[in-house]
Amino acid sequence: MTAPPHPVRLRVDDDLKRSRLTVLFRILLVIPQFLWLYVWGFAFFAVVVFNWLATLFAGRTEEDVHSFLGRYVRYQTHVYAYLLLVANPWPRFSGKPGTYPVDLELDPPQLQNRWATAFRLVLIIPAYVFSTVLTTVAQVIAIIGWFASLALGRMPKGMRDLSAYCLRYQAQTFAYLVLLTSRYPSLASGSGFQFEEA
Amino acid sequence: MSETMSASAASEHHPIGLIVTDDLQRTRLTVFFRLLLAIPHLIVLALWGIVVYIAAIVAWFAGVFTGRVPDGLHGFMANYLRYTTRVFGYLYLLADPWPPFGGSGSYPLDARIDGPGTQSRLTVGFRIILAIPALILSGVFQMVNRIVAFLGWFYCLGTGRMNEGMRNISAWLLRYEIQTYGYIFLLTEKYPSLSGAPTA
Repeated sequence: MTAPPHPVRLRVDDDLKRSRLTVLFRILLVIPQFLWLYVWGFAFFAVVVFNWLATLFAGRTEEDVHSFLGRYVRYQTHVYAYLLLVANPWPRFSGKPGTYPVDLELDPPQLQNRWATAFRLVLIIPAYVFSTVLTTVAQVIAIIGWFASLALGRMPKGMRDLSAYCLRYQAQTFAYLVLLTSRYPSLASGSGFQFEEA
Repeated sequence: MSETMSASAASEHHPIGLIVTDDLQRTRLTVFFRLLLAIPHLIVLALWGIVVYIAAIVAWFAGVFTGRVPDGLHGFMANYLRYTTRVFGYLYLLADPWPPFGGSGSYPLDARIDGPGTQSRLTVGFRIILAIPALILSGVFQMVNRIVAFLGWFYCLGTGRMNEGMRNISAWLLRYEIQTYGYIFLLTEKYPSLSGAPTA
């Protein structure tokens, strides 16, 4: 029943506290981060293409390529977490693990099926659809949460958790696309859903 | 099935909850024709909805003046909401059997709705305005549910089962929707809650 943990995990150490000032100007404050994301993105894209060919032939990703790609995906997760009010501090530009309250944990590279690598762009479609939809959910929550954070000085836990869930799925989809993992993105959640019994 | 757990341990009790006893098994044939099979229910839902609309207006006046929705009206609207939950559960592939008409009996995906309580007359008066943020979120969740159902349709046809993650996220979002409608229909004064949210 219990599958091994997904190789791409989101760790949330956030304490729900938000500083009203940075919440108010969040969209402006995130601009430098997006510029860096954009510039870094060129190098990232080139490596992704190169890595796709390499993985197709070798059946696995090189260690340093894996960590380079992982850092970009992690940094992107930090920036989105900041923008969507899932965490409070201004992210570092490095994308290093452990530098942000909402962090991405990545397992080392594994052997990957060549067919799944070759057709990755096709296989990703259902997950990509979900990911887009969940990103929209997180954006709507961010808008409502913006008002809540300004009024309360903290983010409601339910909103933060749901956004983090959306963010995790988005990161898993992105990681799957750029061959950081061969495991399909998973909708199952870390601590399960709380429903009631009859 | 480990997803049905600690309902009472969940931080606070909400008067409207969702009971999931579904086993993920799906019949391919009824999945294939699900949209057609749901039509009779959707017709009943639409006709019944007209009466509920009037009942909600009456309940609103009762609530504004007495601070409480009469038991009969509460039961009538609660029944409608329970039936809605089942029909959408069926339509969104969250459960397999064809739902019974009406809100009685049981269904693998069922709403639990507590009896009427006293409500603040002020929040009853401004209920529609107060509900706006929850309605926006509900609208988005509805869209997500449709997309999950669309992808789940292929999954069910292929495997004869519904994907557990899909079922769970969809049921959880549906719970928020019925809490929102329960809030608007004055079945509860408790605001829809994101608690028990899936964590990363």
